[in-house]
Amino acid sequence: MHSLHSRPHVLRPSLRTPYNHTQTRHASLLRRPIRPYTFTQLITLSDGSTFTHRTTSPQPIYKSTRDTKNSVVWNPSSRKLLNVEEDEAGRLRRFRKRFGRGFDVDAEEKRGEGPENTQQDEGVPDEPAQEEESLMDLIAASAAQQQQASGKKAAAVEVVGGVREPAKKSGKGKGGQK
Amino acid sequence: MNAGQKSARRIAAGNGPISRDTVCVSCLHRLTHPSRRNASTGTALAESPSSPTQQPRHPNPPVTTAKAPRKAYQLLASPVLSRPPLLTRDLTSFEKAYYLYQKRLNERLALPFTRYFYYKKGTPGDAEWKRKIKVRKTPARDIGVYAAYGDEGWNDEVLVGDRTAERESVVEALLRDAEGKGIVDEEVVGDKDTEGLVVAGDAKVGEGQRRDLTKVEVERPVERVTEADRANNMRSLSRKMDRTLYLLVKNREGRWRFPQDRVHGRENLHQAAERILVQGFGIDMNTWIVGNHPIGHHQMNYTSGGAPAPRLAKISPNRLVSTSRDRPEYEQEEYGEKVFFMKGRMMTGQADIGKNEYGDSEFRWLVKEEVEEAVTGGYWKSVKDMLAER
Repeated sequence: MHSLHSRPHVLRPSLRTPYNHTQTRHASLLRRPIRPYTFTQLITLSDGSTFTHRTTSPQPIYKSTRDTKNSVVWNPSSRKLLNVEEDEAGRLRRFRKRFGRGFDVDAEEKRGEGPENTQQDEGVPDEPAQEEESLMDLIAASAAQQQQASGKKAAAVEVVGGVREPAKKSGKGKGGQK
Repeated sequence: MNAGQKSARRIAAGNGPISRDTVCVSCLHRLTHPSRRNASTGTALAESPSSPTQQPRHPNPPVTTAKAPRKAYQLLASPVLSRPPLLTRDLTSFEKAYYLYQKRLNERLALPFTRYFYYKKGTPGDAEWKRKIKVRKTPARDIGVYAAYGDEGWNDEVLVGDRTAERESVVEALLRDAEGKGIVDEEVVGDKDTEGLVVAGDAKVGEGQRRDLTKVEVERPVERVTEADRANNMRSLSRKMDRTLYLLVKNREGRWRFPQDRVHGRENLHQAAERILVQGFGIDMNTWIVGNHPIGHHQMNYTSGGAPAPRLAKISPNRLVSTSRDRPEYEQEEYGEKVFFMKGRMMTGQADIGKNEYGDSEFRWLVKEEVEEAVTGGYWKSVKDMLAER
């Protein structure tokens, strides 16, 4: 009658034995569920650990750069993550890649003592092993050299101010002119 | 204090003068002041046949305060520090077969993959997709070659010994797909002179051939079996990553036990457990003792030739327990040991046996079976139900 086509049957205890409460569902139409196509994907977390899961994404591998494995909250014992500057997935690294280390507190102090040191440095950045040397670093260093050569005392502040202007013009810090 | 009337009656009837350290205050009150309502209670207590020894029974058992060395047991706390498993366990063969079957079944039941939503027509991604689909006949990568709606759609079973369902082959298939290779390595067509590589001039030969211009090397995931597993380094925390590891120490007497020490002053078991970890292994461990209740206990009576042989123990204050310094060193006659185990979790760090203050010589992180082998029989009986199977 109506119940067969309109509503799905409700599970109810079978009526034969009053004490037998096995779950039964008599024959009725179940509409096929509309489920999207799912793939198996390998997820790689930031510390290298991996696991597979089912997803609708067709990408075979997903590399996560920011997750619980490199979060300070989830790894309270890790000193590396506490130090914002050393954090590899952090925003500070991205900033430095673009704008160099001219804005570092340590770097500014060193530039303040500049007069004695720049002639030796020749525009080499502060730390010896510098992988992320950006154009801004070189510009700033050479600017500092010029300022020292002309003998102005307010060199440190002006260099920093000079670095900022080209940064505003081009967002990525490339093509900065001095 | 054990709950219930029976034990109170047993104490009242059996052991003569009741000392304050075996009976709690409320029971003591009940025993010494039998209720006036039931006049027969006193005599009922006296007549209970619970103890075989027929000692003179008093309706009001006299209460004595202990002045001499007390009859007692040495109370110890013992943190059972565990490193929970870091990896999921391996699948059984039934599970693998089941998951493969379910994935192939899903091909026939779920909606088809909407290719043009993800890969626009004419893009390189689309071309790569079409090339890969041709080989494996299905968008999924982990079920081998299977066409759900083709002529061979009925053929969803694999032969015995097929490696499609293994975790390694699933991961390998995903990695190869990421590198741009198909399921089967295509043969490189070319001359012997050119070492099988296609030469630029041979347009016809190189037509249907894909050239590896950019070799995309996808990083392989780290192995589940680590260096520590291969070397069977029992001090390492990276060994047996899919099992729970427990910290055991070799004590002064040369026995392997969970780290343990006396409970000093007024500290509770939780505090004692934390202190023992610091005093036994240094502060370089990030640990957490769970709750205030023990998860097990072990009792060991001091006997010599079958008869109880109490030992006189000197209890000196502990530098980390302020309440133990309230009284100077005192003596106590102890009839045995009662160890209460406290559950602890290890997060990061490592034990340092150099900082040990209990005279323990070495430590090991062991799995449940290895604990059974290392530990003596009576101790194992008390301990085995606390430890996780996996």
